[in-house]
Amino acid sequence: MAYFLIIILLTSTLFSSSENLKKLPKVKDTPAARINLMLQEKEKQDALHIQEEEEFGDLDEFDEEFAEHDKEMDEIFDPLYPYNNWMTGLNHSLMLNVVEPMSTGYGYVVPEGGREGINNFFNNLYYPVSLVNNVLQLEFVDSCTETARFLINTTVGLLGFFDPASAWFGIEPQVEDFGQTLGSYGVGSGFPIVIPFFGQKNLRDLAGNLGDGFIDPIYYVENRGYNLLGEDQSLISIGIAGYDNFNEYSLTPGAYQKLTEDAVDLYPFLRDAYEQHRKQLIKE
Amino acid sequence: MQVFFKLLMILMILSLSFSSILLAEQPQEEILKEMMIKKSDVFFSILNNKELDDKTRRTQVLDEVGPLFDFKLMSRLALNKKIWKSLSKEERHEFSQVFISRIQKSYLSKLDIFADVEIQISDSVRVKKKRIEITALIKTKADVKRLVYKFYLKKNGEWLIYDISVVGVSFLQSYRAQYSAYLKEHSFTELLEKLKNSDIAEDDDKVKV
Repeated sequence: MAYFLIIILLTSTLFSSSENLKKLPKVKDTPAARINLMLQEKEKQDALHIQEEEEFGDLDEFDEEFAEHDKEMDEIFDPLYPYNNWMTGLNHSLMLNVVEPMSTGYGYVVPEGGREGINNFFNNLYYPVSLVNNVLQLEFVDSCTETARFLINTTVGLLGFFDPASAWFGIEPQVEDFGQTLGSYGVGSGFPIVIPFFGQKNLRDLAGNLGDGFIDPIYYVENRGYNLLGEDQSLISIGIAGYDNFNEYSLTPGAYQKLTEDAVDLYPFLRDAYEQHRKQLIKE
Repeated sequence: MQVFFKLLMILMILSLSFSSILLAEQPQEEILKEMMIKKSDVFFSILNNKELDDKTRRTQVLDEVGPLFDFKLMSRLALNKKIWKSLSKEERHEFSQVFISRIQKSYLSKLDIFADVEIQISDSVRVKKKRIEITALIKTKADVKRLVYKFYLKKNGEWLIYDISVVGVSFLQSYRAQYSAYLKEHSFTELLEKLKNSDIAEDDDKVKV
C-alpha cells in the first residue's frame, strides 16, 4: 500500500512539475509581462520611426498631406459596390477586347490628322456647355477665353476641325461641365456609379451630364430616316457621344491598358482616380 | 553735419541692399526647373536614339531619371501610417523592395506612351519651405495633360521627387487608397504576394520610338 502511495505521489509530482515546465514560457502571460512586452514593442517601433525620420525628415507632415483623401476613400459611401465592381469588370474586358482592337483598325483606316480634326471638331462643339458653366461659376475671364477659342476655331479653324486658337495664339481651353459647377457650389460627389461603356461616374457628375445634355448640341441632332441607330433620337445622340470618346481614345492607343495594369483591384483603383481627378478639376 | 551723416547712412544701406540683390543665389525652384528641363532633353534623346536596343534604352532611362526619385520614401508613403506602424522591420523592408521594383517596372513599361508626346516644363513653385512642385505639360494628340513632380528637401540637403500627380491623380494617394482597401479584406502577406505576382507587361519589343 505504501509503495502504491509513493508511486501515486511521485507521478503526481512529476505530472505537476511537467505542467509547470509547460507553463514556464507562459509566465509572460501575466498582465505586467504583457505591458512589458507592449512597451518593448513600442520602443522598437519608436526606434524605427526615429531612424526613418532621420533619413526623410518629418514623416507626419507627409502623412497629413494624404490624410484627408485617405479618410474620404476609407469611409466612402458606395451602396452600388457589387454592381459597380461587376460593371467595371465588364467595361474593362470590353475596352481590352473590343474597343482596343477596333481603335487599332480605325487608326489604320482614318489617318491621325483626320482623327485629330474630328476630336477638335467635337471639342469646339462643346463650347455652349463650357460657356454656360464658366458663367455659372462666375469665371468671366475663362468665358471670354472659351468664346475667343470658339470664334477663332470655327472661322480660321474651318468649323473647328483645326485648333489655331492654341496652336497659333496660345489660347488654351478652359473646359467646364455642370458636374464641376455643382462641385464648385459645394455639392458633394454622392455615391459612385459605373455606366456601361462610359465608365466611372458619381451621382453629382451623372446629374451634371444630364444637365449638360440640355445645352450640348449633339443632343439636338435632328432625326433622319437614314440614321443607322433608327428613330430614337437619344440613342443617336448617345451614339455620337460614344463615337467622340472612341475617336479620342484612338489618339492615345494602349494608354488605358498601360494605366490600369498597375491596379491591385481595378474598381477601387478607377473609383479613386476618378474622384481625385474630378476634385482637381473643381479646384481649378 | 547731421544731414551728412544721415545721407551717409542711407547710402550705406542702399549699397548693402544692392549688393545683397546682386549676390543673391538663384532660387532653388529655378535651379530644379532648369535641371528638369535638362533631364527632359536627355530623356527624349535616349528615347529617340534609334541605335539603342530596348533593354539598353530602359537601363539608360532608369540611370538618368532614377536618381531624381526617393523610391524608399515613396514605398513608406504608399501605406498609411496606421498600416506601416503595424509592420515589423522585416516586413517593411520586404514591402519596400517589392514596391520599388514594381514601380520601376511599371514606369519603364509606360515609356512608349512618351514616344508620341511633347513635354514642356512650365512652372516651378515653392509650396512650402521644404517642398517644391514642378509642373510639366504633356501635349498628346488628343489634349494637354498636367503632370506635377513633387519634390521635398531631404535631410542630407538633396531635393528628391516623392510623388507625381497626373491630371490631379496622385500616384501615392492612389496606391494608399488601393492598398488600404485591399488590406481590409486580405492579410499583408496576401498583398505582398499579389504585388510580386501580378504581371506588368514588360513589352521589351513594344517600345515604339
